[in-house]
Amino acid sequence: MLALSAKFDPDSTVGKRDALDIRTRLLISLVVTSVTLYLSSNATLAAMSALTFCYLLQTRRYAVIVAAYLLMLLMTLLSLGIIYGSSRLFMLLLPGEGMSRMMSGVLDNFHTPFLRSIPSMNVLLSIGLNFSVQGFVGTMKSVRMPRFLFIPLLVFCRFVPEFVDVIRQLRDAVRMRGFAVGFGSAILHPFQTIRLTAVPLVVRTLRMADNLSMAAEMKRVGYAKHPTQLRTLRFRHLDFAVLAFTVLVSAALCIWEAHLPKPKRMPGTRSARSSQISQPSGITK
Amino acid sequence: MSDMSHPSSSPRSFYWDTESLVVVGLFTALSKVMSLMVALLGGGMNPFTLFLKNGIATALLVVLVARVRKFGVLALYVLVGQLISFLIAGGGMSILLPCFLLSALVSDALIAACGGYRRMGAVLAGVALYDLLGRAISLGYSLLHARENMAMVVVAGVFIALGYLGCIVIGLPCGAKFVKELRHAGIIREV
Repeated sequence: MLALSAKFDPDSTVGKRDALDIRTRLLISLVVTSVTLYLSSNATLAAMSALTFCYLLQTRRYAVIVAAYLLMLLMTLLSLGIIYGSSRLFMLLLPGEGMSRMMSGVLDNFHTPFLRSIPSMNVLLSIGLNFSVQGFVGTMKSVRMPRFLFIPLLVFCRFVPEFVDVIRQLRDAVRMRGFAVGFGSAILHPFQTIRLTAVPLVVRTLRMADNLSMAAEMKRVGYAKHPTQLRTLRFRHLDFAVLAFTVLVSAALCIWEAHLPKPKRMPGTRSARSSQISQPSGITK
Repeated sequence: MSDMSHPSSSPRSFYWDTESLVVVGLFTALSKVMSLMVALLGGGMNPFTLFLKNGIATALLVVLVARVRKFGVLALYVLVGQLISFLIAGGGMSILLPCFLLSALVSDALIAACGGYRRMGAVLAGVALYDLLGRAISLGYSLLHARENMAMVVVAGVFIALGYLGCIVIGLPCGAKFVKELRHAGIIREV
């Protein structure tokens, strides 16, 4: 009777318990990303970024955080280059006053959309660094997710690693047949590349679907009204406190944003153009 | 005695059978993995890979709709895809879920009105409409996200238009071809 004699710790089988419930983290993500869409001034966005950064530091995965920020900086610089290059190309291909006026302001307020992405990245990283498939499946069961959502999400979570293996096997098989699939072949022979990669993947997926659905039917997945759970999830005092703090801070930032004076736009941006349209001709300040 | 030995063995019937749900889950995963793979292969903002990525996603969607053949399959795909996007990319796009659901239901209704899920022309029209509406919603979201700089929205609009062109030029013909071949191989059943 091992179960009676040994000290049974359910947490040891499913990994270390997170300080916050995963539902709390998802709700924080939803609130923060929605509020960030409303905020548009540098001050409020910087405040939101700083607060969410403190929230992210709670994960204590400093190397991952530094790597994520460096990657974001790289992507920002890449986007800057592509947008600037594209705007020059448009001005060259479509010469005209309207286009050149619009594109001349391409670098004005460039930082704002990227500043808006920082809070989203922080809350997302916080979810990602605390994510476990077991915890996620437990959450889906505890919130009584309907069967038509539970089964596809379960399949997604469990079989993304399987797909990675299938892709690796496929790459080896294609190499053995003497083909090289890569960026060059995608440009030079796009249809052959699709035929060599996408078609076998679709066939494998459909066969996998047959096997999985038979297995799920045999195990009666999604049929139980009250499935047994190894560990029941429960909101704790800390979850309520963190959620309340998030809502209060978000409301305060929205009020701050509403009371801030609107910045004067540079020529070429939307506000400048609308003010030019609304101003009658011949009137100068 | 019979009451004691057999409590109620008749299976519950659902509109969405297990096989359809598994296929939706697998195709959502496949679509995400393929998009990521193509983007990593050639860069996310590269026009050519953008073209190819959208084409492959549309072809997979055509195969999914032709395989499951039930009203609401696009809506279910959107629901699952948005829930996964919420987990992968945060809550930003999740506020657009009602818009995406509505566009999927309109596309489902178009397929049903054009002769049902067994007619390839109706499936292609429905998927093309779904892609168009989805891209219009994405453009609206870009407008909301980068409203301080309209030039960035114009550039994003050009990239979205290029992606839609990929859906029409590569995705729909490849999807139709896939379905034809898979039917011939007996993997997509006619019954």
